Amino acid sequence: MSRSALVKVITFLIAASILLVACAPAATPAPAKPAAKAMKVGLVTDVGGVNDKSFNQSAWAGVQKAIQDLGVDGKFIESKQVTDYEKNIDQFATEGYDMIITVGFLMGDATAKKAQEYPNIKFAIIDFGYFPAKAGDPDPYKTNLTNVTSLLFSEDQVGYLAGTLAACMSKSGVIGSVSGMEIPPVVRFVVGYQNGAKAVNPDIKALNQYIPSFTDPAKGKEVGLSMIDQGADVIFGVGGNTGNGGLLAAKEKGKMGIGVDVDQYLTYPEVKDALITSAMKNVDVAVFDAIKAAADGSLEAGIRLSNVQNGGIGLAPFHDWDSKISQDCKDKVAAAEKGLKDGSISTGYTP
Amino acid sequence: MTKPPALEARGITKAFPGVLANDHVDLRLAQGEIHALLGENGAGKTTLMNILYGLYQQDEGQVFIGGQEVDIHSPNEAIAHGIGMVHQHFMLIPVMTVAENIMLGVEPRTARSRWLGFIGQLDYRRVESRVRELSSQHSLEVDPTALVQTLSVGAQQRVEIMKALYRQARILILDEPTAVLTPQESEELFQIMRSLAERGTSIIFITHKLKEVFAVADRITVMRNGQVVGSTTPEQATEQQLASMMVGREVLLRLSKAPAHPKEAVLSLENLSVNDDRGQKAVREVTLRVRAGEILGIAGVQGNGQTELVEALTGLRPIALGQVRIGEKTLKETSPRQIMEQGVGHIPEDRQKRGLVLRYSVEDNLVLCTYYQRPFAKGLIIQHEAIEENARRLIEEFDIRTPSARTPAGTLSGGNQQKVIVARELSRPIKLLIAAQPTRGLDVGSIEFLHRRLIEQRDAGYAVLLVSAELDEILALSDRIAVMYKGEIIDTLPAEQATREEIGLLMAGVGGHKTSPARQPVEVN
Amino acid sequence: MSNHNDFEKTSPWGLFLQQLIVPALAVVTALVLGAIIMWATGNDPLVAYRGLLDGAFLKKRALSETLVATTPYIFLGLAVAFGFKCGLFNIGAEGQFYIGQLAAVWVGYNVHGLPAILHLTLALGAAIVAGAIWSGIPGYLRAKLGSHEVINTIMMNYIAIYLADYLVGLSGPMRDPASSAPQTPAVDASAQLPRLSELPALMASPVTRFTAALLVAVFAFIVVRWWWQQRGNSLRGWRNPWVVGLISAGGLGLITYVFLSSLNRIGGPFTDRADRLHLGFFLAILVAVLVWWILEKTTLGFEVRTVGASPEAAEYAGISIVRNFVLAMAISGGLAGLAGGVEVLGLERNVKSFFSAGYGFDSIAVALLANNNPLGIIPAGFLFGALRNGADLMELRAGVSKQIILVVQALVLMFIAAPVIIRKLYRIRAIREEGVQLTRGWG
Repeated sequence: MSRSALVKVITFLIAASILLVACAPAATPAPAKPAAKAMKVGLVTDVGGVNDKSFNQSAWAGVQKAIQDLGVDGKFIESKQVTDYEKNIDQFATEGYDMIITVGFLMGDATAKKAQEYPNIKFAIIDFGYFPAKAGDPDPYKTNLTNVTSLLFSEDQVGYLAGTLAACMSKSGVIGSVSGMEIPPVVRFVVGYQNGAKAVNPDIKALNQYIPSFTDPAKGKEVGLSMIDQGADVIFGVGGNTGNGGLLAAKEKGKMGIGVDVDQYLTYPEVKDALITSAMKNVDVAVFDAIKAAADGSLEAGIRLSNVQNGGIGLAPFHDWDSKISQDCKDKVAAAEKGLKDGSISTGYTP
Repeated sequence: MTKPPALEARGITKAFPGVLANDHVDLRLAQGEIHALLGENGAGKTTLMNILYGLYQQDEGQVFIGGQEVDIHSPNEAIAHGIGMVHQHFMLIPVMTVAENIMLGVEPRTARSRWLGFIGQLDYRRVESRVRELSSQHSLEVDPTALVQTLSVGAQQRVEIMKALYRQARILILDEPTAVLTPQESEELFQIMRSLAERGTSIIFITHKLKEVFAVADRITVMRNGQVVGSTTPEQATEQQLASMMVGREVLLRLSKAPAHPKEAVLSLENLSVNDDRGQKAVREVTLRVRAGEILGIAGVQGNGQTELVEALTGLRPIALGQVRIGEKTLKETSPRQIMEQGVGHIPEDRQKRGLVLRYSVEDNLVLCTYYQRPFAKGLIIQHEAIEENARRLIEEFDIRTPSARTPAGTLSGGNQQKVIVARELSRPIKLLIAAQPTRGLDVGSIEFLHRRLIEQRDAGYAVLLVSAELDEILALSDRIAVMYKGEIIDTLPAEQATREEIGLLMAGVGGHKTSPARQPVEVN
Repeated sequence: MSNHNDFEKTSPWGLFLQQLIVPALAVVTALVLGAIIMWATGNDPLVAYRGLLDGAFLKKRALSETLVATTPYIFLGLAVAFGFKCGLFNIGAEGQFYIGQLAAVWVGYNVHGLPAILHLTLALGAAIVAGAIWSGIPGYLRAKLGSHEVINTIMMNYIAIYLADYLVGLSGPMRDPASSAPQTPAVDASAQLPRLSELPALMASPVTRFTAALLVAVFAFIVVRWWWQQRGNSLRGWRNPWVVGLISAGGLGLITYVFLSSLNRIGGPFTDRADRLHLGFFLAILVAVLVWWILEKTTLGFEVRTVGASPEAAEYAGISIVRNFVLAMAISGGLAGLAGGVEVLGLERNVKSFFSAGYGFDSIAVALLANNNPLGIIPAGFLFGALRNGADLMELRAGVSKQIILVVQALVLMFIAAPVIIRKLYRIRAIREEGVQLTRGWG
């Protein structure tokens, strides 16, 4: 190519880049300061993303409700990999967000680090407790996190209810759970599920397999199918998209499935035929409540626990299965719920 | 002339950036004439044909077909005007049958299915009968039901010609058609061409081989540097004249050489057998000696085991049985590099694939076999200065025409590519040079250069093993001639006793010591 | 023939610019097309690109984060490019990256009591060896048995990923029993690849500063002396390579010492504790130069390139194809393993279950973008790092899905793969170059 053409092209490149840099700020709406300054809420999801039909999606639903009802300004960032957590929190922090919500146990370290770096921003983390559960427990974070609220759930309780129903519905005496990573919230679900089942039928065989991923439905399905081969007729899918694979296996083989985190009858209609219920953590409610508290200044550092007592967790409606579930089973579930509420029943989970 | 010429080009000019490929070229092709277009590589023959075939547009000048001026913008238009072209590299689909290849693009449908519109059923029978008809008309032997990949090169070429005839070509352009053929196949092609011409097809025959021009052409046009330098007939011209016209200077077609003074044997083969890729015996119990100061020529039609023989001698192919000695050393599971370091130079048969890395610069190709030795490398580290210096010296000494030492070898002409290889091999310390088909596809000037160089090497005391399918080359250079047929050396004779006819017969497998024990070769060391 | 003339007229500098022009225009064109897509879908491309620009370069720590993302791209791009140079398609960079991380971390938390420089070298060395073994297996299979490396490296990816899941997850042997999350223990401090923000503390003692300066000086001496000798300068007087080497070594050592002493005053990434830029980036640049040097200036590189350019000619020239296939794959995998080691020792310092980043697959694109030129990999990796890092803020500010960045990346690659489009668009004439054939088909 000739010299002059080369020069032309380079000139064009330079001009274009100058234009880009020069025009862009002018065109950007200045970080608007509207009359009543809306609170800015940022949600950092785990690698599952806001369309995981479960946990992250539910958290985002809470933020969306806050956008509608409270008029806050809300955005999300999906983490691509575990090493992105800190960076993603940083994105919100440096964009002037007032509150940052992080989703998931795995983000514990990153959230703590960033909470210390940005003491003026309110943080809320789902499923990770920084604060000593019992008196005398070691506190790795020295409890100087005055700006973090842990949104925790008694998954063992709702797991227990699911297990009660599963054992009651099972004809084969074998039930299964397809689980995600072996982290405390998942473990709580599984332990509660197994103990609830045993309370109904002490001889029940409760299969479980942890899969170290929340985004591997293929693996989940494979595990689910193998459990069905071993005789399981109820599959509890605990673990985002991976658990969804287990539900899909149940549906394809004409077995029963129990969803997790949200009412998956609504979020994952592909498997609704098989879904007898879902073990719901009302993450959306917890998130919304936290945002609401932050907006009126009443949010405090520490643990906000959602449990059977305060209705933050519970089984989803039976939907299509309502007529197929015997009154006996429904009674057993109601009794278990009552027992958990008044403390006469323990789920058997110890941290 | 009463009849207008079949095709006439007047004042065709075509410039590419930096080069005038055709400079006011005139060409007149009479009806039923075989017109040879002769010229060295890069003379502008192919450009002219691509203009006639609609692949390029001329900048100036006109084309007339049957006296009518035409504008040809695409090969389809050329075909519509009755021009057919057979490219040097065939445009056939190997997994299809001959008939399918021929009808590609002009598929006929059966009458029954025509009403269905575009989803008609192909009418194979019509194509096949038409092919048979053309086949007998022009004595073109082609089986329409054969798969193309099972055909010999010569037969594939006939399919290409048939493709053109099927499309009713009256003017046929053959671009270097003999480059890929054996002498016998070439002879068959010439017969086909003559028979086509007799029936009124006009043929443009592009070549740079002088002998062929005399064998088949009615008229000869010579091009050089984009211009027509002359037009003549075989009766009026001599080979010498045509060669001078092509090259632009006097060319020695026959080299004079002094008698050989052979010394000790450098290469000895004892009962050597080599297998081909399929595990079949390609070389059978060959016993040979090549002595310092002589050229041993191996004559034979391509595919009689020469390739495998050379590959075995250079370590590229394992030896199945027998013994090879270079100097005093016996080769056994020896790598190509070890053989090279024994003092063996190799001009490989496939210069573009084996002999050169086309993407590499000339200077890197010149050290392709010695890059790891001093002075080109010290330890692991390459010494660019030494490589540059080496290139400067060899480009000068071997007259390699290249814009610079950094030019990729792939952009050089065939002759200059071969010079790079020869320069590289001769610049190493060698005592034996194995040259396989060293002048295939080269123009007259380059052939002359290479032949002179080989004789000089012989006179300097090297042993030279020359493998060639060109009988003339074997006769011109060899001191002794061994003829290879079906993997065997069927005879070895001193060059001065050999005649063209005798070697030609031996190449076809007629005669030789296998049939007449009285002619056992006597070799004296 | 015209091309020959061009060759003579074009200066090396001009040739370099010409090689750069198509990639540069490809990027610009892809960004413009991306803008059109955004505009057509009702978003404001200016806001989006301003976000991209801020997120990738201008905001606090943005440039550091871009360089953090660039680092694995450079290493892995080099890995893929090295394979390509030998005519091999290493799709297994992702798996080798995993294995490198595991090996480095294993050495990092199992070996104790070594001085930092040794421990770090050992851990990175383990990463290289592990990656080299991981890719050497497909290399050997290809060379000896002719089974295609594309298939085998993909299979090795699966093995690596599930092996990592096993080792780190559940009751895997590498899992940290003290942690409730599935992850390995953290490496010892001595095996951490320092972040810039950790340097002031590390370099607090004058003795360490002096040692570091000395290392830089020795390195500078070796490089400068070699370079000066290559240039063929006279051996007498102050132009003697030894003298020049010593002068540069002294100068650079001194500068290093002074620089390390004033880190706290420089501030920026050196004092920002949340800044994650680590020395791996600088190591990546050095390794890129080293790979370039190996390929262009050593007989080893010549052999690898020859096998890649024409196996037949290589065989003819006495170059062992088997040896070079294995070697090139091993070096390629070693680079990918090193990428993993650097990433884990510089950033997380432990391996968490499910740590996939997809860097390994993107890096095939990086290598293509750079036309497999080791030095070109640096800007190509930087571009990918910037796009990856800036995408989040772009999404945040403009509400544009960050998938648009993937569209832009894909467009860039398309234009690189089919440069005719760019040449036609901007009327640039083709130049001939020593391109590299990608693969030669299956088997």
